Amino acid sequence: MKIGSTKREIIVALKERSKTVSELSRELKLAKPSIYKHLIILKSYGVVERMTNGNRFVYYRLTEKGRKVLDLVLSVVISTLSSILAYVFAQGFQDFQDVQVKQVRYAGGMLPQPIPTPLISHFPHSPSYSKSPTMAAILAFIFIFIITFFSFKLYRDYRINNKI
Amino acid sequence: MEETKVKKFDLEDTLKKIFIILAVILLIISVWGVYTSLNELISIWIGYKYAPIYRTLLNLAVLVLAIYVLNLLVRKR
Repeated sequence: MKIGSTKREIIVALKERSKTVSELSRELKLAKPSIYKHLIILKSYGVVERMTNGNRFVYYRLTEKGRKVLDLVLSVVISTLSSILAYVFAQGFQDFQDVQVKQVRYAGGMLPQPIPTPLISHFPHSPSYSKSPTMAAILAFIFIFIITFFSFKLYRDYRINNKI
Repeated sequence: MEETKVKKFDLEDTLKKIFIILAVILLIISVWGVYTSLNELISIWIGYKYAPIYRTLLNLAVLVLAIYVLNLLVRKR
């Protein structure tokens, strides 16, 4: 199942309650035929279902499979944002250290050369704050994905068991 | 004739239990190995100032996974 950005937005928009095509069109600022086309595709995947409640309005809501997809989408979004944040932080600290080293180097050439810090240091109190921004981002993604994905699952189970 | 049948069944059952225990022991060893390797990975690749944040995230992930598995087991019962 391939889910593009519009379909992902529709799934997130249907998170709280069922909505009509007009409501989704207003919320996502997209034309009704376009929303309808995406809804038909999502319906064929079994992610959303069509329902009527007596009046002439047709509502769309997430199925159980749709809720699982929503959990996955939200977990991926949250963990991606966290990993970007971790990468930026780690990169920022590396740049800061580089600037500090350069300042020492160009201080009139009178100061001794700084001792280069190894990339991988086994010393517990290495002067380097962040050794690999990429690794920091990967680890952040893995840990936060596991935490959010299983927390969403637990929360959904709790809601189902207590019929909230 | 009946006695041998009962004995064979017992042997199968015991073997099954032994294999399950062995598999659980292997599972515990591998999970512990992954946990310690991840901790080592953190201390090698993440600076000492940020390592506690990553260790907290790792432990939180393990905690959430453990609660999820327990929840599944309790619900099945």
